[in-house]
Amino acid sequence: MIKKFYERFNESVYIIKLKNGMQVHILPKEEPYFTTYVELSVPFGALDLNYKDKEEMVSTPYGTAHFLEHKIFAMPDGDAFGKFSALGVDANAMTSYNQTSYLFVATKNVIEALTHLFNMIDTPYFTTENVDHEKHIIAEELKMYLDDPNVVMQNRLTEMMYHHHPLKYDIGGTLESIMDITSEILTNVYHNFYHPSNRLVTIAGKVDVKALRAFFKAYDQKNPIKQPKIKTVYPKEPRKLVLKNDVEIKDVGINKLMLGIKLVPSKLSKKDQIEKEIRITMMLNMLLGSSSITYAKLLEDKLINQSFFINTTFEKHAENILIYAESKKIMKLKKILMKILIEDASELLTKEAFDRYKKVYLGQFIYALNNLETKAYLYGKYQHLGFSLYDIVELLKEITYEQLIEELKGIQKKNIATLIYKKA
Amino acid sequence: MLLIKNDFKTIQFAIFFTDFDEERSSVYRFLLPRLLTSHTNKLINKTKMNEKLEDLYGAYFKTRVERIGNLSIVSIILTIVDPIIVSDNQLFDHALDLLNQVLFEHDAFDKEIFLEEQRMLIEQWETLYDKKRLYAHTKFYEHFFKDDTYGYPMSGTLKEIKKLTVEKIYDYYKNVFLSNTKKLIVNGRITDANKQKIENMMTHDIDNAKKHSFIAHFRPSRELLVIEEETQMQQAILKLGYHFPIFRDDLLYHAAVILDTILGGYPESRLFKEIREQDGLCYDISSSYDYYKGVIIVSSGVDLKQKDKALDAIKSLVVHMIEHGINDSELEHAKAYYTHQIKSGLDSQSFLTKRTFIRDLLNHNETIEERLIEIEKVTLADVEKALKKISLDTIYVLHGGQNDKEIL
Repeated sequence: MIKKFYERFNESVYIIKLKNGMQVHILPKEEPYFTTYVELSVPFGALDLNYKDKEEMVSTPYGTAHFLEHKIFAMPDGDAFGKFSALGVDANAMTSYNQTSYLFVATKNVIEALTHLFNMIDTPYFTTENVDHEKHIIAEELKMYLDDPNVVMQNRLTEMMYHHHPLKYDIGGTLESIMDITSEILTNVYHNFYHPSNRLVTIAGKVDVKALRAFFKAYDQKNPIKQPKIKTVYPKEPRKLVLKNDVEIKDVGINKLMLGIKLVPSKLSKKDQIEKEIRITMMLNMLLGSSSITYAKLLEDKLINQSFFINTTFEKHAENILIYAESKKIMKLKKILMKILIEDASELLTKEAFDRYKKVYLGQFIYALNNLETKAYLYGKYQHLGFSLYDIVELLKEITYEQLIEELKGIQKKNIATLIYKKA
Repeated sequence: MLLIKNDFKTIQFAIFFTDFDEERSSVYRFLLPRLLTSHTNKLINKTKMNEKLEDLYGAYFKTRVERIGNLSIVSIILTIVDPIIVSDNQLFDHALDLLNQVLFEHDAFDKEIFLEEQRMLIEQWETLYDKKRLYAHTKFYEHFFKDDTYGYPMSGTLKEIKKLTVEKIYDYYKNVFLSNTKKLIVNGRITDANKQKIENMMTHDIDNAKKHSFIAHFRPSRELLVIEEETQMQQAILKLGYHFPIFRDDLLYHAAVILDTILGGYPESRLFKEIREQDGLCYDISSSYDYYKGVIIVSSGVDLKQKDKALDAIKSLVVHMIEHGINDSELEHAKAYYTHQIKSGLDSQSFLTKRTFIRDLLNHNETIEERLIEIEKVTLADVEKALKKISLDTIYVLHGGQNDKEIL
């Protein structure tokens, strides 16, 4: 077991590396503290659709990772939630583009709940009946999102941006794609991606390090086999857009605009990729964030309201920026945003704002450490990228104002897709 | 001032303004926190305000208006990072100064900023129909809480928002809002020197002892009201309002909380297990108990084609529960879950701030330990007694039309 201490934040990390390849990272909180947060994650998410299984190429339907997340809770003797509840712990799961996480929050019975969590993960129980039954539940989940115009617009815009990359579809898949998921598909995926070698366990909060160490030692002895990691195969994605502009007439209260910038994905080291993501989000905040001159002017001219937001996605072989706004003068807003992004941006990014934003990012990092769930989730996310969460602060120091200006080159008119929902 | 000392990595300065909940003041109370935190005498516009917050390591204001029984609470919370972590010995003073400015230093409200906030609120109303869940929630409240302030829009009506002027809201701020009962709660690593600074800087009437009489009340149960509304959507949203006259200070309160947990408070609840897991009729389903109003509300987004079946299933489930009660394991699981939620909340800074305020507001002296003991004491008979008090009062259904694409 390795121990690391980050003096500035008064945070420690214990790392246990099992012979089977699984890693356990323990982030203790000093007493008095009541809660323990446990997250078991595998680097298998919505984008991992195609892979090689014994030299044979396997393609799975959109939404497979999310479907599997639902079905992991099925056990031969019933739903796994029952036992978690009996132990008085709160269990949940989530799927992102690149990982699936199973978690519980406990104030007692941590080892018992951990035993149950591993029992659940190690007991795949996929039958034709329970898979078909789940299709109804997941269809309702997808329909719930489809009743939100923002989600519908985002789905449509990513389809306009991507030819083949799986990012073009929702994490949960589509109402059609989930119908093709079978128990055989889930079983195959499970055996290829859920084996212990692929698992990362993050435990934060109130911990008994000695008891945890004993638990994982015993688990390692029972499951000693290390398996090679399976690589996902991504389709080749052209740089150009599928469709540049689209206007649809809809029954909405106010016109809506979604603008998508398809960035050229970088072939950089993981460290450089994380730095790039920080640089671009910082640049966008300086350019269009709430303290920017641009934002103030857009508000003053009644071109945007409080629904305005920017979102960035940096995934394997796909990176993009989405900007969303509601406006009564939608065409004018589109024109102005395009001009800001393509022509005026470098003049609007000031060194003064850059210095302020460095402080903001440090603050945001500290806010994240204050929340157990956020801390453990981010820790796991960066760990899957081969990075420690605490090293991210060090990366911030290396970012320069000039680098931010350089990132603007990635935003080009030919790579911007716009979707407008015009009020009927 | 109430101090909560601990070693979170952030410090919260929370101020709560309390008054009686009245329809005529809703629009003022909703817009005021937005205006107060958008500019001050020194920080003359939103850009200056945001620059200031960024300079304080991304400090942020969180504002909220909420109803607790017959009271209306406006909270303004400033959160900063612990100055020790960022080695900035000016941060605490700057944060206090900012809070003081936001609360008290307004010789007038900027008319342009007011008009901007007013426009955005109007546009929020104009897009309400686009947000189906929020729309359904708003309509349900209108019907369930008709003739009660709970049924009145928190933001005031669209007509009132449009009629509002900068002069009127400033007048309300100066003559009514600042005279509200105020309570300051500071939560985080606070030294004695910093405590002294707060006392020195917050010279206004920040902790007046005036208390409002608290009333938890709802109208009597009535004949079942059913409202259906059709729109363009993929699902049907069901809202069932149950009359449940058990309030926070009642003997059956803890039993009522456990009952709500068993009904729809967690993944092991009856609604989740039967309506979702067993019948596959929905993805989300839950119940929520408002112990200041004495009601339980069941909410779910269900398969459009099976909305009637789902509605009947939910109604039957509740009737079955009233008639046949619950079993031992349900009681024990719910107690374990609820106990865990309470203990876990003690690790959340925001939970502790809010809890401290509520205890002060309602003169509650019960400790966490005492509360846990009370929960542990709840028996099957207590829950059964509570169950007898449930009666279905209002059903609201918002659903898509019949031309929607059939997938399954």
